[in-house]
Amino acid sequence: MPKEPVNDELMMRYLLGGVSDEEQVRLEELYFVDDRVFEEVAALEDELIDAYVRGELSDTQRKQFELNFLNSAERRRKLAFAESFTQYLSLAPAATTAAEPETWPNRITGWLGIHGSTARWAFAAAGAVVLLVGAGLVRENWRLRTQLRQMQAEQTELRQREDQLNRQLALHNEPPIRSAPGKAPAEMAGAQPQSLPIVALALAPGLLRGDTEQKTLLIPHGPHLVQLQLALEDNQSYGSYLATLETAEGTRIWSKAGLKTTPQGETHIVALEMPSSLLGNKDYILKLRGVRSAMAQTSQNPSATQNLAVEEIGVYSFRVVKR
Amino acid sequence: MAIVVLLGGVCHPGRVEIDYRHLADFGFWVEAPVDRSGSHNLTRENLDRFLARLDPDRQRAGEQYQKLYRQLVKLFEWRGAPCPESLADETIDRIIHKFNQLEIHDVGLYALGVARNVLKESQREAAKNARLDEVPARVLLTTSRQDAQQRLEKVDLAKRLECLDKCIRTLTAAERKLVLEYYEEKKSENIRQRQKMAEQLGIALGTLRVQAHRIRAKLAACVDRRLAERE
Repeated sequence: MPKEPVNDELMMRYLLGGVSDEEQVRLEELYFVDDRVFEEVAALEDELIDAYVRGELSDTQRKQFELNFLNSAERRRKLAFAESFTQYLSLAPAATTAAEPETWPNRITGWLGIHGSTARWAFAAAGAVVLLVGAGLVRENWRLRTQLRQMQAEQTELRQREDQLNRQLALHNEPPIRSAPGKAPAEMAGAQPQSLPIVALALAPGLLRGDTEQKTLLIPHGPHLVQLQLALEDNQSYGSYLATLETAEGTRIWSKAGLKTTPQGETHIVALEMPSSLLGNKDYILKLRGVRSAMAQTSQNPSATQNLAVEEIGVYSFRVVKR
Repeated sequence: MAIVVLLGGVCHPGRVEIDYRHLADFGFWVEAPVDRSGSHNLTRENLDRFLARLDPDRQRAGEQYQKLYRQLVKLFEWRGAPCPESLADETIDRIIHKFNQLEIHDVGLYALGVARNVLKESQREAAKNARLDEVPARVLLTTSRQDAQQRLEKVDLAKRLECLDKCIRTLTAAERKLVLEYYEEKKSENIRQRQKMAEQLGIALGTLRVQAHRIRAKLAACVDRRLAERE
């Protein structure tokens, strides 16, 4: 069978169930004959799941994913892994380095055929010099990468704050302000309307009793962007936050990892967004968890290692009424 | 006290796997035990003949068999079938059964054809059982769903992260660097970053993607093993 080009776009549509019968037949014949094509489709499946977890899919793709993709235990297992992997990547830049096993000097000299204590000490000394120089370069590289990450994180936070302010302005029918590189939002003029109208709801933690106290989100007819602003009870700081949305019966319908807080007056909030198509006329429970990384030392491994702790910090309930 | 309801959608005799989304609105907790006891239509003689046809060397024949099985499972998964393993079992059964009767030149393409028929049949069967009120239900009593599910979710992510951290440390340094860097970047930055990684390693981008996928699969299997050991 001749090798035909298979691109990411075709494979992605195949995984989401959006190909024609002819394309489906062609791709399946290709990956049953060519192992490389099969492995690329399998690899793209991982990337598709990651994109869903990170909220990077378009609305159409996300709907297709939720409708077609999560219908087997294996795929739900993959989604659970992707959620934890994404969370891990957002928290552990130091995970790229790890303490070496203690017996490595003997292993290396043995493998190189260096025997006798004098020869080993000489090799060790030469090795130490090389390691010192190398370590200095690695440390400098790590410092620069950490600085770059911090700057990128600050930039992302500024953009989020800017978007939040623009949404608040939009709610009050005022034109939003977009920033240009090097200028603060307040210095710019010109309005760009949001692509979807926004409905927002501020929530405080705690499951309320009685229908009269239930916070209600009114969604007008048509597609909207739902923004939920979750107030935090205290000022504990976490590396990031994980939010999961469930029906009152406990069915999970949405989750998002890697969330950050935004200051609001004297407190902090976690703001999240989702399409209104995800919600129906029912009660919902939103659970917020904080993810913290902690340094720990053990006697076997005196170098500090990084552990991750997840703590539930708030449960928020609300009712949705769609007109 | 919650009620567990096992509804239709039986994957294979003795196995039950249910699409939980459709049932959740009824407020029941859906339990999905899966029996992986394997096919019951296979004779030793038929299997030997099939393996010999895949490859004269028994070891390589076993590898070819496993590769074919994996391809079939993924095909059914990617086509949205809820019971990919049992459909793959059914497909292999039929192929082996037909091996005595037909001259098959390309096992892979023949398997694909059989798999499509198996899938069509299972979709027709599923369409017959589509209305929930027509499906007979078996009801079991169990302890409170809310408490159990909350406990499960509370520890689930924390346990996973801990297991993942330990599993990542079992990788070689090169594997760890590759998999963390490959999956680290967001979509807007990752294409350039991955191209750069591929150039640094002296391999094609597609090869890099496959290598990252294999390491990730290793990590996922390690996490599952550690989680199972904890229970």
